[in-house]
Amino acid sequence: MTRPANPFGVAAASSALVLAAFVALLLANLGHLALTGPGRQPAAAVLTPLGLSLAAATLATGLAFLLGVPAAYFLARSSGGAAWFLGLVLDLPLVLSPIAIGTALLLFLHKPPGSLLEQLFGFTFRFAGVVLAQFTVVLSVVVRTATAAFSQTNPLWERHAALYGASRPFILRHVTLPAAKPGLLAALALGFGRALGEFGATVTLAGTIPGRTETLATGISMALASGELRLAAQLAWILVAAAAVVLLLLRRWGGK
Amino acid sequence: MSALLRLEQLLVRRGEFTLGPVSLELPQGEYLAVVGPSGAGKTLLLESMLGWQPASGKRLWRGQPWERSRPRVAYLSQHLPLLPHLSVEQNLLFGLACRRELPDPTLMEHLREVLGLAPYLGRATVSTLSRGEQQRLALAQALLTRPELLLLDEPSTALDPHRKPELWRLLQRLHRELGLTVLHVTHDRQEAFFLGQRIAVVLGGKLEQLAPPGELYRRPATLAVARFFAPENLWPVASVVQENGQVRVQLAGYPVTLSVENPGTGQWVGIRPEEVALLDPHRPLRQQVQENRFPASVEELVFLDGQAQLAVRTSAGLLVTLRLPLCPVLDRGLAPGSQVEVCLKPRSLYLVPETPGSGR
Repeated sequence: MTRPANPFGVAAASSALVLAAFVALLLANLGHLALTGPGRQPAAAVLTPLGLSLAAATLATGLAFLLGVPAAYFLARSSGGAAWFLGLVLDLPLVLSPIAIGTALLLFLHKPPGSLLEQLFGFTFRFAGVVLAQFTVVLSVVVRTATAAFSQTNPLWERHAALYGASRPFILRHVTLPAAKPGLLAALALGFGRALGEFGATVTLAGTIPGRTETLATGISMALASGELRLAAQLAWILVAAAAVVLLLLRRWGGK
Repeated sequence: MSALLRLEQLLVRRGEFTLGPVSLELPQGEYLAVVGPSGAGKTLLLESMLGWQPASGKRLWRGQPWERSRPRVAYLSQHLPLLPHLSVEQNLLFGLACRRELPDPTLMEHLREVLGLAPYLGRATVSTLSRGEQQRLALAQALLTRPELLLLDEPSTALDPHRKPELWRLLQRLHRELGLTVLHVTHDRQEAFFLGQRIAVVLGGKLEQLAPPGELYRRPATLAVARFFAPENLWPVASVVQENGQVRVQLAGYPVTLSVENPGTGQWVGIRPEEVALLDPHRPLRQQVQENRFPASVEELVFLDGQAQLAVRTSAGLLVTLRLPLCPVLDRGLAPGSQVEVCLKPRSLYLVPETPGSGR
């Protein structure tokens, strides 16, 4: 005997199918444009923004990871008003418009103490600016994900190790970091994916100068503006592929 | 025995809840069971003892402040200290790795045998082990570090009831063979009586009584302790009169006077259900059941595992609960409405004050 179809189940499944079809259609169209779209630029034109994007995203994510993970550990293990407030401040870039972040950075670098950093490293319209913009956007993604990773590990494990007589570095190396490893790897992947696709803050602070500050995301905008539809689609497809890799890694480490 | 651990006026506040002040001494080699219902503050006591929870008062290890002593302590919390990213064998050796020590081969072999670790020692992760197996692994991890004090927090909670005595015997054996000092927290009264050389009763954040099992059974120190161990058969007292070396207790609200052999005074009188005698009309009465005899009618009969619990009402209206072996109940064909005679044995009755020190 077959069970009668549940109308809610049918509606929910249809909704998922329609949405998936919509995304698939977008990607298929993008793929078609990447192969046959109008434009004079050779396919090799994607290589420079790709290399620049990979370099900037790696540096920004690495920096955000190094600085953000200790902060995330603090937030996960602390309670009380100070930790709550710090968490709120560090979460802000997550919901803030990237253009607002870029504007804030730009203005910060034109007055002391920011101008001293500008003199020292030279961020505005430079590669370092791309890294700084991506770092600022990615930081909250890394901190939030890593905080969740540490929160899911039981602090009792660390306490037990300390009770047995383990040193702090031993506990960090053998208990805390391995226990949070899947979540920390997810933070890394998520941060890298976010950095790779970052547009608003990067274009505001570093502009989009070919060969110097033009990334995949800002390159798409430039290609569209100059009618190079094929190049824009090719750059977009690289971002799609990168996002797919990030999602696959997340599912693997997240166990889903 | 010298005191391994001494707590002096340990006081912990958690919001509305207060634990203590608790003062107790744990001699080396003792098995101390701490018993109380859920939420009584037993785990808080363990964790504040370890310094994991802020507390006032003193914690002394061999007479020295705990913080300066670096005591060899292992703690089996309810959340077992097994790391999911380590293999079973790595988890076994984790305590030793923390100490940067090598395993004692003789102890290792002994624990492998006693705890039956061999079948699953080669597994890649602890997540495939049953709760019982994880328990044994965590116990082995702790014991390999040769702790001077082993703290156990509800070690049998997740086990099936029929598996509990197996764990109790194991803990008893390890305590004896390794010369351990153990502080074992449990809500299971049977477990506390089985294992504890002394039992500390913690109720509502207060250490109500600390005594050997026999004393706790015969003479609960307060009404709260008596209620925790045997909530049945507790009656308020109207007056207590000492007469020819015996205590005569007049109950409040009932025309009943009881003879009590145990000395003392208190606002309540009680008897454990298994100490109430059901008299057999066809057998001669023993000496100890000559007094406090009452004809009664069976109101309720409940079958327990190997026992029967009867609620009987005496002609004076007193409701008495009895727990008896099942056999005589079945042999006599007892049922609700049956007429019986019960005896509240004078030597089994105890007088309890409302609060500590108010009656004795």
